[in-house]
Amino acid sequence: MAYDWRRKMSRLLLLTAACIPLLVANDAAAQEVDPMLVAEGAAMYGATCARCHYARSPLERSDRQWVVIMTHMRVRANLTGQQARKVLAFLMATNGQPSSGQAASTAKDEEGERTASGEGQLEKREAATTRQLPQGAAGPR
Amino acid sequence: MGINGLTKRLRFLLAAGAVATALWGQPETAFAQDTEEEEDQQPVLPSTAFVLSGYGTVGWAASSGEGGGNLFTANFNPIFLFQFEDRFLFEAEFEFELQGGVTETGLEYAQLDVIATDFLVFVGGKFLLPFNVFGERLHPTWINKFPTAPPIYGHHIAGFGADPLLPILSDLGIMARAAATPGRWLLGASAYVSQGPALEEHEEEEGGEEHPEAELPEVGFPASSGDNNKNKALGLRLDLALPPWMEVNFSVLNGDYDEEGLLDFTAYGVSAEARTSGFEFRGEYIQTRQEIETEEGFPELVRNGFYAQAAYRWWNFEPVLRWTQIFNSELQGEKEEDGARQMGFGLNYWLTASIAIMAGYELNRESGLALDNDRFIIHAAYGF
Repeated sequence: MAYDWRRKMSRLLLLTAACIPLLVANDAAAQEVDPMLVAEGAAMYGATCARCHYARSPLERSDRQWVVIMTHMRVRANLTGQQARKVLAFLMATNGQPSSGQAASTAKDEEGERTASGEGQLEKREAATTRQLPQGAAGPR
Repeated sequence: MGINGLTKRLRFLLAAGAVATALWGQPETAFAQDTEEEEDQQPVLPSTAFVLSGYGTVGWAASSGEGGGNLFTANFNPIFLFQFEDRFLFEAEFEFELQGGVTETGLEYAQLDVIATDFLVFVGGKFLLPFNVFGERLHPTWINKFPTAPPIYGHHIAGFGADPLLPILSDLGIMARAAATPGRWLLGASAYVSQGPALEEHEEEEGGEEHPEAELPEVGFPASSGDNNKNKALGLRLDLALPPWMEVNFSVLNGDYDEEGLLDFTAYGVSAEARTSGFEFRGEYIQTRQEIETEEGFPELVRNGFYAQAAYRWWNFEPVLRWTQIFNSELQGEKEEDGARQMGFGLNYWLTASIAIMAGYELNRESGLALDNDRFIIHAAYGF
């Protein structure tokens, strides 16, 4: 016979409660873009994408587009935020746009000058995007 | 059936746990920038970013036998992705299919994803149900290695002698998805509540006669904004993966399909895949158990089926073999409906990682009889 609603809710709550231990291990540490992260991302890129399809070229998308697509793929493929960040680090480092390292040093130099002159608030946000891995694909850390 | 023996106290504790989950999911201000250092860590995105993705297919199919013929096909599935900062993603896929001179449209999914933590995501709206993996991950034409879906899935399969066990499941509801990575393993769990199945209604054929297949009640998944009963469906899938070498998934879906909410429908699924040295092996099994109201009680109509697929990538070519079988259905231990099987031979040529020309030949057989309804399909699939 049919289940009643209470039983179903109980089962749902049981499943939800089972997720709690996963939250405890939430890593709050921010991750800088570094070669090791990119290397790990390269390995993970080949491994996780291949679960469903052939890995697409990083050149197909811009940094910003990869952030959105990685969020989409994180949900679809049930990846963790850390996995998504590693893959994203690789994609952003190899998609033909300025490398994170170069952008970081340039941005820091420019930031110092502009802070002194009080200009460049908008550019400051842009610079920040190139020297930090975005949280987008990974979600909250 | 069902979970019995849950005490009231346990239910209260579980409810408290669910609330705690929701609260714990509020990260420590993912967007707050209290200090200058934190300000440097703001997301790469502007407040909202948009990406258009998706896939399209053009093809040609020819089938033999009575009612056979050939026709050109085309479909276009745009996927819209809207991301707000680092927390929210709204995604929707539409389907435009041109077949036989008629344009069919559909909304495959329209869902809001809320990134709660590194390990937990909440989803709401209309989403592809995580039952096995074909429907949720593999059905896009540029990902599926064969030009057609395995006959255990789908609505109406031309030339195949049995009804599919399940459609590509998409339903309205809410879902929680969790993931963890102990070592090199990837563990996942997806639990959801959705509108659930409903009694499939057949339109009366010309002359006022009922559909000949309406002897037994059929279960459908209309995914409409209405619900034909008060009971929602519940589902769960567990994933165990060692990327890219292997993955195993276990799925269950349960709901009531009649208007009174008395008749149960349960589907169980197991899927597995393995790959090495250019080979990829994949298979999915489904069992459905549908309660039927009779004078004697509520016996179950049991249906089983599976598909197994092997592919080998050599240079840009990829030969594919796919075997699908739906066994005879049983009601109270006796055969109710004939099963069917299909052997598929395919050859793909990959132009890029997401553009391929795929050709396939299907040999369809029903209960050991050689039916003259084989089919050849060729199409070009482009994932963009």
